[in-house]
Amino acid sequence: MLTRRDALAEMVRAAQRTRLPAPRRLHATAVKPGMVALAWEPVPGRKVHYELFRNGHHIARARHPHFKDHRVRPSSTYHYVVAARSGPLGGRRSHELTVHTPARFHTPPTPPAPTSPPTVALPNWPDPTLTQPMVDRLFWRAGFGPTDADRHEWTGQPASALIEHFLSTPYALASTATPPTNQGSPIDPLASDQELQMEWLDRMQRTANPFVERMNFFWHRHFAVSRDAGIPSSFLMAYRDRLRRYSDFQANPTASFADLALEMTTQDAAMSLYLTGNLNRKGAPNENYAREFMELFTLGVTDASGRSNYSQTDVRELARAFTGYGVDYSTAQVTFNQGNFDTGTKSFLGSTGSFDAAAGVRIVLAQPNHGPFLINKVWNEFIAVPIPGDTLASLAYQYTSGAHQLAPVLRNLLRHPLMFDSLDEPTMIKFPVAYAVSLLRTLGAPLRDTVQTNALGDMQQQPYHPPNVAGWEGGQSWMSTTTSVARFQLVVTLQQLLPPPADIPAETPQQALARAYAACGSPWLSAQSRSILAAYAQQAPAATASQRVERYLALGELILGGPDGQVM
Amino acid sequence: MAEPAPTRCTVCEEIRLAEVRDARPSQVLPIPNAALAGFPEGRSPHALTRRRLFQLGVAGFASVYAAQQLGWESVWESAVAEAAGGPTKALVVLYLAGGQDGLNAIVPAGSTDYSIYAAKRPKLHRGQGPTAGGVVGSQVIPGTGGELAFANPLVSSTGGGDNGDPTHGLDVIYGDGSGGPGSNLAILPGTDYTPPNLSHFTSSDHWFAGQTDPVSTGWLGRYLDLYGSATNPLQGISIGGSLSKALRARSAPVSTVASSNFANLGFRAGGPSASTVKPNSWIQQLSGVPAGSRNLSLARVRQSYGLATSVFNQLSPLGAPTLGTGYPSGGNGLPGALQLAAFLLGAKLGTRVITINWGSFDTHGNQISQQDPQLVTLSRSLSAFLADLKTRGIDDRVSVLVFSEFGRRVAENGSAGTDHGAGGLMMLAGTGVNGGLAGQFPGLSTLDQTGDLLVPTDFRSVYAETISSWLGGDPTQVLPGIGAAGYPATTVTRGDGRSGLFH
Repeated sequence: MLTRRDALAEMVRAAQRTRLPAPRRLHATAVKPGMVALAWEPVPGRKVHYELFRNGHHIARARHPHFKDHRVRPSSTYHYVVAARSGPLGGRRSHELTVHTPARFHTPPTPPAPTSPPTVALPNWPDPTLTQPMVDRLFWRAGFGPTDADRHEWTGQPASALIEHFLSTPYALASTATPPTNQGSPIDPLASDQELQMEWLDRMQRTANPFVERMNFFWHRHFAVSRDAGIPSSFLMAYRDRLRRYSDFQANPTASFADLALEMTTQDAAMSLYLTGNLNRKGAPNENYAREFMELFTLGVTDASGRSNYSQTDVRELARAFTGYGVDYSTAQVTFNQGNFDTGTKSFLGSTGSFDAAAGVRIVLAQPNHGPFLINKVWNEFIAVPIPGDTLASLAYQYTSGAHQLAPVLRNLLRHPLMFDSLDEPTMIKFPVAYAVSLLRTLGAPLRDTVQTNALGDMQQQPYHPPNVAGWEGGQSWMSTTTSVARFQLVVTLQQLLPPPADIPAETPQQALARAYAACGSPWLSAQSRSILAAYAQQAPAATASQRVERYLALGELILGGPDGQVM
Repeated sequence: MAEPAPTRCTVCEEIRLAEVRDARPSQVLPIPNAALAGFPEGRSPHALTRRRLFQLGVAGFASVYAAQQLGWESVWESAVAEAAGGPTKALVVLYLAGGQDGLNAIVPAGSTDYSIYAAKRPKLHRGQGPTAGGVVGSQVIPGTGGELAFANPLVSSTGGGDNGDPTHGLDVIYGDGSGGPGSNLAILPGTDYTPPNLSHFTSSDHWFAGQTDPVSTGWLGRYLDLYGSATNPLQGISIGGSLSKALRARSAPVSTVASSNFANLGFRAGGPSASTVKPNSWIQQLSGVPAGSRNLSLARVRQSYGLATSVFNQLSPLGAPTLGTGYPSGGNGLPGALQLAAFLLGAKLGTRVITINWGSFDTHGNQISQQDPQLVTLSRSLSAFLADLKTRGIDDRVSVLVFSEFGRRVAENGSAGTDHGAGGLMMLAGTGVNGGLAGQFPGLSTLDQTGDLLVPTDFRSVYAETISSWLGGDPTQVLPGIGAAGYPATTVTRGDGRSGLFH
């Protein structure tokens, strides 16, 4: 008997047999800032014409197998597809062609000689006066969400003043009446895995300048190491503290990525163990660290045009420059043993010499793709919209021409107009640590036992436990049917750590919603979601004290733990 | 030539779809360009009803619209109805994370190859025969002409190996390798793509995507987009909290299931009298609020919340699952994941694909102590899983595909480990699998310029045959270019002279 599935499959096949073939060899014959010229091999047949699609939109019909698209912008990426058509008979799609249009200004193919004037402008975008949604946006993207005091202090101030606050407020922790405890005792971060995590979460909850901890955690995601590899907790705390020195710009205003990269390569015991740099010896090279150093920390596999940034030979030769280091477990220090260092001549990335690790780091960071790679990564940490090509060029120029210093670039990046894109409907998913810490800060809930660390595990992000050396993938991958529930349940669990809320017998449903909303820190909530919550408040039974308390708690759960609470 | 201004064409449905997208800010996910490829062309959400979907024949691109138009309640109701349909074949995909060293799992045994292998791996090589003198041994695999051997951690103790289990091991499910009854394991050494990419992340992306060009969907997600359900998130399940990249779909709903405690899969209120609050229904409503057309993040959040209620509604009536026996304890999650998978597959939920990511096989240093315990767990778990399926009476409709993102360098490094290499080990297991040496072994006499195995079998050919001969469907619609000149073949050339990966 023919099953429904068989019948459907036959329909599919029948339709495909009669379709025109896909045009082959779709390619660009010219790409300019304002024009893309395309051509493809003609599809044989009667009265064939071609339908052109750009980024999924139909843009034109062409009678001949070529087309010029004048409606493109500089520094942009477009995806083209073409399909043949003959009367009602549709054809199969060509492969997708991706085209990057160049910037309007001329970028020379080779780096400019040091004496020539810069061809890339230093970034200079407006310094807007902050509205409350803009204050919220900056405290979310550069911290762990706003408080009412933050809103009061910064609304009406220039954006640059708040960014300066992030970059120059000393690192300090607020005091707390409810310090973290594990089974009733103060935590010892070296005693257990959850206490190690709690120690950092506690700092994030109490930090006066949230930006330092946000940046600190960003570096953990960039130079990822995992405790799952058996690295001692004390090594991980030293690693975390090292990363903080490159996040606290009040204490270290000239902190540079070049110094950080060299420290991670030659001084950090956790990193050395995690990427087996300690096993990389003369005559017995271990490629692990050298490969990830270029792929994940500094260059990326390919540049924007898809060209490889390095070869397997570069990996092997750079690994030789990184030889000689080991880890002394008794002191938790990386040591250098001259006898294990390969003193021979190495050739990588176009340079030849008897390079050591410092030279290796220097040569890699001088590669043309390092600036764009790092800027892109930092941008994506703070801003949801992809970085425009000219912005990338100008920030990368500022960074590489400024001795790889971090604060000057962050100062500009954080006030880019796209930071304030889509204020009426946030577009970035809160990563679990930011989400959890924001709940702790908003609700004033204490860190207790494994409550928060288990929840972070369910949400797929425990500090010191990235899934692999690339860190957490992030973005839309945070959300699954499992993590959605875990995010909601964290709010429920935190409520249970707090004293029960007051019962107000005379409270109307509207008043209950208003009180719950304010207690949640008045976060972003879409208008439609708000009316659904109002409907809930209206329908929830409120005859008894426990029903009223429950209504109030459930509103908090739905506001903070519901879908709208997950974006920033 | 004067180009025509962009016009709206009334005959092609693609354009109607584009119009609809532009006009409807409530749409959740934009249709990427590639989504319009293949049959059928995109459909207007206005025209969408369940009946219409089935008339169209392919559930494809409509699920997200469906969620918006019909509401999550109807979505899960239709998912339940659909899941109750006839039995279909299912695939469990097990990813061994980190680049598993195939050569120390399926070991070269021919005299020339073995001497090269032993010379290049002075510290890491396996012995021949039983484990002795601190050197882990290996057992010649029947039907390979004496060319290959199972490392002993893969072999049951009654088979002469040392996985510690008398009844479960790869030798048990491999049988005589003839493809006849009891020969339920196919091995494919040297499976990869060329030129190989030795980055974990680039390479695993290729394997998940089923292609080597960047794409936002996985091969299994695209399969479900074309041949799956528009409403049933349990058609594709990642065991654990994260969705596998292989299951990323354009529109087909898929899910993650992290726990066999199904009562805890839903949204549960706190409060003193929790019985009065029904968070699932309110979450359903909140997740149905449309996001702005460009706001993929919020759309994704709301869709995930909505699908979570659907998953809960389908699974919670099942009560406490009865899990199979015979699995090893511990094992860092693999035995439990396979136990849960067997239960879900037996519960007739319309599940077509289950993915499991497991292990840490990136053995740059001290490889033996890292890899061998995992090989023990793998061999015992996989063998117990097939037995579990048989007990449930579903062994003839479930196959398992095992892969890693690459193999490792033939020569060991200086740290008693191996660096990234090419030519990984792939395996297929199940009653429906044509067991034996299903891929060609490239041997060690000729290596590529990096010192890696040559790659006689392209992984995409294995995927293609899995689609055409097991899951059912046209692989050219799922794997771009497959079968065309310059692309991998749609079938695998076996190493044992027989043909076909499946019966």
